[in-house]
Amino acid sequence: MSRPAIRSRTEARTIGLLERALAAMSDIILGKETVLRQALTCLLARGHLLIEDLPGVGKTTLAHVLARTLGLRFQRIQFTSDMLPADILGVSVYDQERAAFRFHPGPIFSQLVLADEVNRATPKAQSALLEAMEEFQVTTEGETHPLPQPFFVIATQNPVHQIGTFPLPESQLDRFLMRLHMGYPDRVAERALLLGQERRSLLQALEPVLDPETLLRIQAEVPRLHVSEALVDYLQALLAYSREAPLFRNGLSPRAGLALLRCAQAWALLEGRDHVLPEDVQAVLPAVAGHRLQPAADHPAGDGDLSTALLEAVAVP
Amino acid sequence: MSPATLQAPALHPRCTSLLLAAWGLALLPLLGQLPLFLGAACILVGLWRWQALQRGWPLPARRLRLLLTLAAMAAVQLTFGTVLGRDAGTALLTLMLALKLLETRRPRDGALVLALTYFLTATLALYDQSLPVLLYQLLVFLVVTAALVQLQYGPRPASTAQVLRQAGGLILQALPVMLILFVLFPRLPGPLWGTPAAGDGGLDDRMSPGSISRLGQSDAVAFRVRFDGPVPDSSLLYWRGPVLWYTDGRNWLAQAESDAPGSRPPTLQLDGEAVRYQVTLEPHGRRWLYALDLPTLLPPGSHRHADLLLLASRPVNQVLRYTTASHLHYRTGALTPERRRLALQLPAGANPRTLELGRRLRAQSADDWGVVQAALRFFRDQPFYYTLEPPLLDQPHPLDQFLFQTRRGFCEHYAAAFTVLMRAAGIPSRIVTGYQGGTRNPVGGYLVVRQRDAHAWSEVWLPQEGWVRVDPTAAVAPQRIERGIDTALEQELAHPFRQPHGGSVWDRLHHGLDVLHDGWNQWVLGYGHDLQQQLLARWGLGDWSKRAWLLAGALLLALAVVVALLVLAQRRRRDPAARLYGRFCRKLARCGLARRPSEGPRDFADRISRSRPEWAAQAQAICRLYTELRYAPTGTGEPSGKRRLNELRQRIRRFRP
Repeated sequence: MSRPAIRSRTEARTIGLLERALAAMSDIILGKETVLRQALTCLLARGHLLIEDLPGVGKTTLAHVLARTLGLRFQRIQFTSDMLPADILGVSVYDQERAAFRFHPGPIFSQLVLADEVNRATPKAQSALLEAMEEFQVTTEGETHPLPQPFFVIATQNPVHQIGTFPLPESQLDRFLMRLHMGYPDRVAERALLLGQERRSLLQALEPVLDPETLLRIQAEVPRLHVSEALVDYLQALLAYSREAPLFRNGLSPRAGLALLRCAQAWALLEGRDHVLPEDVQAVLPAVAGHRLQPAADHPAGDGDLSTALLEAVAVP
Repeated sequence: MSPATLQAPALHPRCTSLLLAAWGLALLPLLGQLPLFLGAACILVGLWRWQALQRGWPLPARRLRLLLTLAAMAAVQLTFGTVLGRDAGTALLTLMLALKLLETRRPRDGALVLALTYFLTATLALYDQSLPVLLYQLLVFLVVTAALVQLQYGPRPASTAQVLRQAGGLILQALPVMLILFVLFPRLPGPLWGTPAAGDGGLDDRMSPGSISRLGQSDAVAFRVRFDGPVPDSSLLYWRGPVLWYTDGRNWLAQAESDAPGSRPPTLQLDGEAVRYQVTLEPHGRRWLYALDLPTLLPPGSHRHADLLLLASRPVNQVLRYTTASHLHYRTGALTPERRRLALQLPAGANPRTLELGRRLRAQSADDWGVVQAALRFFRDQPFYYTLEPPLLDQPHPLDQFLFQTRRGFCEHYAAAFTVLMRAAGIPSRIVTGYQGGTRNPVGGYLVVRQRDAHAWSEVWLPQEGWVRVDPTAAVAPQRIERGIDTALEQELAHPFRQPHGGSVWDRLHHGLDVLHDGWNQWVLGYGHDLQQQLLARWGLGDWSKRAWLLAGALLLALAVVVALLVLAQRRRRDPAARLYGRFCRKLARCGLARRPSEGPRDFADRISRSRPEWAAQAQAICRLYTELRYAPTGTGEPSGKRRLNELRQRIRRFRP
């Protein structure tokens, strides 16, 4: 492995902090280093995360661990079919003493929000969440309330038992920077989980490694990572192939291209580099592009295969 | 329709409009060759298709298209009486292609239309092969090729500027192939498909009053001449054409060669040096080749008629270049009795006053030469005028009318009157038609002979001399012979764009353009079957199998050069670090460790380290240098970058897997 090129002491410190955070998280969520790294990448790139998996594989724990390690205020919203936008955003209540309406912020006014089983709620409630995610602010009854910084949403979606649910449409999926699958732990990790301490108590004992201010500073660092002409060539070749090949129903949008670039930058930062390599793009592409690519009508294939096919088809210049 | 056709995507509108533009450009020059209503029909069909594109007008149904097609074929058959041949064939192709536009919806139809548009553009060469036409054809080819390129972009078209640029590149790549085919591809001895004679005729083998003055208005070039030595005096520049013997009192006719009695060459006595020169003759559809009196060197494939005229074996239907030489001073030999009889032939009862004058001149003079002098004196002393617009000779005895009433005429009037006078006086005589003089092009250093230099003069046969040239026009208007036709007819020809005398910019431009035209004629159009044979024979390529090998070899070479240039240009555009890294990858590929195209440099270095640990250090170092050079903030341009690039080069050179 090549030595990271480090420019300054603060950067060295940043990278050290991030590595420590990752190590701390790995202690609790066993055998999921890549998923953790990708989740952290998503956060650093100021995007939101969608996790699609079965119940019980550790989605909630992941959110908890992230919040804990990064020192973020955490809030969990369990989505149900009778949920109203006000249940997420908050309500204005008439205050008799001051003879005025007063805004009571909803659970979304938090730094890390876990939107659990987002596909159970009606589209109306879903779009309230998605708008807040997009705008980083909440507007009710003509008043705009900024959300706290940093603001990070982890939404989960149960891919099976879809009866009576409202799966997010493709256009809404695009609001999420990444989509991850947790998957079952491997044999060794599961054994450690079974024999080890209870996760909740471990979580309680977890000390924050970062604070929100440092996180914001690192987030601001991400877009400044060097992107060379050669890398943009590669990125554009990927986008062009997704648009031209008959494999895909639609090509990747410019927004998807930008998302890919940001995530690759964040990934490179986590790797401790000051520049982006094609491998960084390749590492984040399945998570970034997987939910944005649909197979063309006459090319049925699983979507996991699609991003791999895209990566295999495009040469690194 | 098969399911595949149903699924094929429609042509993109941008592609369709470029296709229509290409078609319109190809059609434009052909409109002049088509009958008016057929041209109008093509334009209407094109406009219909355009409106269909712009406003979504419906395209005609299949039954209507069938009807239109049948109507078009009937129209061509009715107009030309045939559907074959140049004119009818071109009209049919033009109409069918226009109708094809009405069912052009899919890329497949588009490709067909564009291929036919190439062909349509090429038909233009059947009418005109000049340089401007070629340039126009190249322009059309560019647009057609651009439309073909656009076709390949399918549903996501490129900008028109981009496809035009790409088409230009393609045409440039095709140029070497075009040149090789031009020089080496076997040429047919005659024109293709018996193309009708080109050119606007020029001289004929018959003459009547007004037939040469008609040419006097024409600026068209008859031929161009390049002398090896100095240009002879203009009073000697008589370019010999058909010789006319037989007259009915108004018209003059040449003899067919076969019935010319005594066709064996007359015995000639030549004085002085021969003048050598090269003639580039415009096509005139006749067999004679113009040369100065008297041609003594025969160009290959030609022979000399008994009338001392050069004849080619075939009508001249393409620009023809030949070298010949002439002796300007000569005596011809004796006259056979049959030819003497012909040279004295006069129609019975025509022009009695002229005959009477001839007999009177005979009586007044001592010998034949005296008669000639007396006749010339008659033209000089009486008030004769030299003019392009003589009055009509409509009385039964036209020469009487000319000699004694109107006394205004062009060269054919004087030559005819003089020859009849001589015949009446018992002196054998005939009319020679051809060209006299020519204009020197100071830029190109050659002589241009135009149609309006056409001339007619007489020859009389004198016992000691043989045939002697007498030009009665010279007696009336000596400046015609000495200084050319423009001076002689200054008043009549006084319009501003007439031929130049001075050295203004306009004149120089005019001369320069003529030089361009001359070069085109000499080197491109004049390069026909004979010249190709000569050239290839000079290269030692006598037989066809050698030529075929040369053609194939030259084509392969040209294509290889084009491909090599493209590859080089592409390599030069690549980052030097990428080029070095490519070399590194090729070295590894040779020992079975090929980088997958989609594999990043670090993944590849890691794979090398895993499978061949002994190379790990080198591979990692090379990978680090390469990724820094290509992806890190310091590029190859900076000093540290240069150092690293050198290091990378060294390491890759030393790396011997």
